[in-house]
Amino acid sequence: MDNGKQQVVLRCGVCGKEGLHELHYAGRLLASAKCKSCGTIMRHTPRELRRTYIKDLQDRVTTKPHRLMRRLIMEPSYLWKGLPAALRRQPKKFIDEAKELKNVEKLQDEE
Amino acid sequence: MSNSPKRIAVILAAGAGNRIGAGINKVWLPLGGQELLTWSFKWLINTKLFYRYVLVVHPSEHEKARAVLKSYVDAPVDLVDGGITRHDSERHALEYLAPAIESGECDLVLIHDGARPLTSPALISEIVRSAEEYGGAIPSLPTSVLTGHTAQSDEIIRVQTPQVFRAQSLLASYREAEMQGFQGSDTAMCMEKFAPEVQIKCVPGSAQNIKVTYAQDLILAEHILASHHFNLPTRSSHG
Repeated sequence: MDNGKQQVVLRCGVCGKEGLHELHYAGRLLASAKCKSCGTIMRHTPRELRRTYIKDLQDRVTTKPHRLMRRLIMEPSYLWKGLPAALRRQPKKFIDEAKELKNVEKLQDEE
Repeated sequence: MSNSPKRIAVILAAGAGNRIGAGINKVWLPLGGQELLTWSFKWLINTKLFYRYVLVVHPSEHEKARAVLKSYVDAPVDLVDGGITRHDSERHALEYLAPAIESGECDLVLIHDGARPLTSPALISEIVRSAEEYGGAIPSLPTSVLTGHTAQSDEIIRVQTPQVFRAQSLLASYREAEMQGFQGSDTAMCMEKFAPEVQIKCVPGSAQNIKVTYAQDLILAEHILASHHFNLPTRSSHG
């Protein structure tokens, strides 16, 4: 995923066309989806997104040990091949997620 | 449900929403922290009803599929090249499985759409149980459930996946369809045309068993997963 962004073909609920949509993610949550055909943007309200994000973040943190253990059982080499780099990426990842949350709030303010 | 029948699950993901040729295949979109497609494997594996899994993907996506499966799927999965249409993809999967089907090693084949990430283990088990009894089973919903209208007299049903059929009849149907140049829109259509002797039981589907088509479906899917603490029910609510 490129900086929490994805382009995918979906059907638009407003113009009804099947076309490219740009999706923005905050963490593992979909923050917004823009139809490239008609420009309609669908998103959570900032308050809803923040509330859901915090709840989801709690879930990510509490389930991380289990998920990591499962990964290490399936792929022990991840301990030295993938984990150090993944740990280094964490601060930037959380900063990007916070930025995405801010972006959604900013867009809402502009409307 | 007897544990002795040998069942294979096939997930179709060769072209989901990618027909325009831009953007990624929607089955690889993030949903609840993992690729959308991987949830289907999770629910299928949870049922413990299948001894083998097949994923049908575009030839260019094998590498991606292997990486995703390695991270999130706790079972070996065979990759098969998809076709131009859904029907072609199903046929490719069935021809790939033909040795197991013809030898009698496999009794039932389940075919599921990779863009439906919320099919609960309870629904999968119910469909498999019905297919064992009748020969074929599909989940369906009256359209009134989906639209919110309740006063329809001539009920039109909307068919979902997974669809489960006796393996040998299914393979024979697809071979016959190939000879006649027939393309069905789903598995049941081909079975109805070329294996009319097989009874197909309509099992009540679930409004939650959505196919990701609209952008809002992704948000709905996130909510449904989170509200179930990322674990869909393994038992039917009606017993």
